[in-house]
Amino acid sequence: MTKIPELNFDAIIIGGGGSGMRAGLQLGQSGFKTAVLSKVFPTRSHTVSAQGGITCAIASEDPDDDWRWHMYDTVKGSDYIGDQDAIEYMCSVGPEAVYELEHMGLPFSRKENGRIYQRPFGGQSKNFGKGGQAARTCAAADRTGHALLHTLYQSNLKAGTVFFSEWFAVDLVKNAAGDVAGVIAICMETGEVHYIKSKATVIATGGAGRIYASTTNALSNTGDGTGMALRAGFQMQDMEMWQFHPTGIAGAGTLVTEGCRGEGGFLINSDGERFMERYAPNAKDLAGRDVVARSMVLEIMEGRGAGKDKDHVLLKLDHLGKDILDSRLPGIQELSKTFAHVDPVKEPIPVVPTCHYMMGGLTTNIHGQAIMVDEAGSERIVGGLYAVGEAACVSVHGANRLGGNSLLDLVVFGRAAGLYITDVLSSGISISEPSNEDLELAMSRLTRWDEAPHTSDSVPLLKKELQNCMQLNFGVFRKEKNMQEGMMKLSELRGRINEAGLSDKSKVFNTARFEALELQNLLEIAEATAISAEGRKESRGAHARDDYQERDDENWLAHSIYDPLTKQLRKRDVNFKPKTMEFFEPMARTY
Amino acid sequence: MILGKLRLMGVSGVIDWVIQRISSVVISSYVLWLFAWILTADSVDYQAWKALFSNFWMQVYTVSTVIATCAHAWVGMWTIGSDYLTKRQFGDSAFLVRATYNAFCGLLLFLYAFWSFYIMWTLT
Amino acid sequence: MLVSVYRFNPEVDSEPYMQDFALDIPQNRDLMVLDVLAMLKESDDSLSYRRSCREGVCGSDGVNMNGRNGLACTTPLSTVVKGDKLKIRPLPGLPVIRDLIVDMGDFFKQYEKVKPYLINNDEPPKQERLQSPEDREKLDGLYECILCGCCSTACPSFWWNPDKFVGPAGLLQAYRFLADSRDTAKEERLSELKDPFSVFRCRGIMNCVSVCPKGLNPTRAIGHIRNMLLNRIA
Repeated sequence: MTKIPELNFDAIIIGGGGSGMRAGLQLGQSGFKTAVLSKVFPTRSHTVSAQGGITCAIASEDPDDDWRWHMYDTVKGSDYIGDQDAIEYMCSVGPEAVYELEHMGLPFSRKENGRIYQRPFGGQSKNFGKGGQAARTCAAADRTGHALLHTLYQSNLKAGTVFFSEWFAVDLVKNAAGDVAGVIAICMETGEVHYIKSKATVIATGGAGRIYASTTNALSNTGDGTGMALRAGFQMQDMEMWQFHPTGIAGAGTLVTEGCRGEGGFLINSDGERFMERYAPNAKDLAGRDVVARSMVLEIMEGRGAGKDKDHVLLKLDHLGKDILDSRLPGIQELSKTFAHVDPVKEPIPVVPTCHYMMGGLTTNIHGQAIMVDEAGSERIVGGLYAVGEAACVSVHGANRLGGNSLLDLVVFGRAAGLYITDVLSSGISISEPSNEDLELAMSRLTRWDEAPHTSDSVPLLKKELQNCMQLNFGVFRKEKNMQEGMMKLSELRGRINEAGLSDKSKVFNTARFEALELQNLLEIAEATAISAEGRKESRGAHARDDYQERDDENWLAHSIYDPLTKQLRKRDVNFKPKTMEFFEPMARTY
Repeated sequence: MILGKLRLMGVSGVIDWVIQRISSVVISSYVLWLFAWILTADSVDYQAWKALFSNFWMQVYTVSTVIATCAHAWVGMWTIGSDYLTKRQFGDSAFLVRATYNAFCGLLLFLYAFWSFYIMWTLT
Repeated sequence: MLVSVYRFNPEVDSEPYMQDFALDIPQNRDLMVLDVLAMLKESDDSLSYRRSCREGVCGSDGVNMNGRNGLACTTPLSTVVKGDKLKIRPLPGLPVIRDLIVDMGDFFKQYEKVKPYLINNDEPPKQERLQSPEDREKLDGLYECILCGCCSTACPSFWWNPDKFVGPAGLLQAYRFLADSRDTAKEERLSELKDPFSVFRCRGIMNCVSVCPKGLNPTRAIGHIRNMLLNRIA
């Protein structure tokens, strides 16, 4: 094999979204040789689509607000399988991380007194659930993700961070010790393959909503880092937990922020009834997303769906008036007119629960270090491998993420990983060199696509089949029989994908080549999801089964750990040991 | 950089911009004034024309307008050169092409200015 | 419908050409141009274009459709197709890498040139810097830019001097920071914009305003910058 050109870094971050750029900024400032690699120009990353805001107890809207209340909400929202030490860290460090963003220039909306505007979001409460609805989500109109991502990119420009923009990461390189020693990546413009050697490899590749046919996620959300980690044999946690956002525009799948309901909008069925009053008498439309999504599906299944096919419900906003909509939700009006042909000032928006967020991911601690769990339950840290953001499972979201917590997760843990890796690098670690065989192994997938003869099974077709399989069998409600069928379909697809070949093998910006590589990442994640979903024999958070309808704390107050080598599920204890306070006892979760 | 020095007028885009606005005001007012004179004059013949231009203030006004026109034209011509006579169109010879063009425009404008001074000066 | 697409693969083609596709467009809903591109790619996977969010916020899929720049993902066929024909070309004025993918290097260099980040060297407070809603409102219509490049590549001044004229997108960002009450580098920013190219190549023809998929108005922002520059010498 000819030698692959090699680039050398102290730390390489794969993914230029919110978490990757926050980590990049931290490491860039440390003076270590750092690069952020992204398959899209960084401001095209999916963080840009986040709308409603970043939840954090900065006590602007309510001077008495307390991060512990935010922590309570998050633990409850996670249906008690969020790790309480990690949630404690996120909620307590959050204000500092948000102020840093503001100091970088993020154009937050403001209150009359000049402080950051905060809006109510789902699952938020005051005084540990006893003080009614809180307003804790810091917002820049309904474009918070856009404002945040651009601000982070700008700060990285200011700090002089090195970007590999439009570079595609193919696979992780492991050395003989099983540590990660960097990544194989392609410069998309030339098609040239490089080995990027690094002492710290950070996966910040975001979610993989594209395993489903209907998703709010960008076309590029194919979980490339997650796929790479699975192929390299690293374990995933809670992969059955996929959030279905209550309000995706019916048909198009584009997101309509929860902020709409935060600002006073509500859902109605075909009878015009505000049905959430029945399902969640207190929080109503601002109950947890899993609760609202299930209620919507039940309404539709019971024949109270709106529209010709009775296949969606309606989000009513017109009663808020044009002024509020113009100032607080301008982007939503634009999206709604473009994708639903509806002007929310006059008519309600047709919405349906749509795949939105991967709560699971690479098992990590709060420093972003990847963790492996053996059969006996003892844990070890993987050398050289880190994950942050949606690709990681720290786990702060458990079985259901609260709105506004994802942006907080990105900046808090991107920053935390950056800080920790700086310390590690300062202490002078080294990762032993991978052998030629190790490199060849990491190259093997790409080599196959570059050589395999063209087949009739095309990548777009295989992708559609995979997405439909997941949509049908692993949606909002899950049935054992369907899941079994889905798993069989996935193994059939694996066989076909392993045989598939490209018709165009050119190198210069060959997007078909990248879509083929992405498809394999989707497949790994779909399989991890399927096996984890089938294995968790209970209903909790976003995971709702018809054969095990109740939460089972006796057996399943635990993380699921998916091991890609054995394709088996293990359990891992949930952390109930916050450092500065008493832990929150699992309770019945009602809104 | 050398190109920058070649520019006889203006040290910045702001000044160029101001020059163009002020000069266009001068030119327009002059044109309007001439029209008004033609319309209101009893007769527009050689005598009247010569009398008009023999007036000291009219001479000052005319020379000022010529200077304004040359300044206006210089900024405009230089801009056109830097738009179209660039590396994109002419490769490495762009500098030479543009320098020649600028020198030509500059010389022409200088000649026009000199000529009009000469005419005004020989009138009296 | 007849779709004509600009094709160029430097590995195979000596020069670019237009390729025609006859497409059956389902009549029941108004497709976006991006849907059409996806349909074409299913039949010919060598067709390359950028895309990501498919909802008009990431700025990946700026292309030229029947002569007009815009985002493929938010441009419905009904607004752009004329006489059952659609011509799709890459954004004009930038070098083509392949098919509809252009090299945006010049565009981003101009963006970087305006120092598109907040400069404030005062020690920040423990909490956020305060800003009144009125001051914050000044950033509306500026910060929403998605860097798709539709405006700058519709601007003749940018075509002629992509290395010297900042272009509408970059200038919109320049003004976004000039207008921010928290920024303290106004003088420094302005002095870097006063040359005859950066700002003053704008001739106010408003192509940028007419194509901006986010409905922003770079010409107005440029006018504000020019006024600030004038006030500075006045």
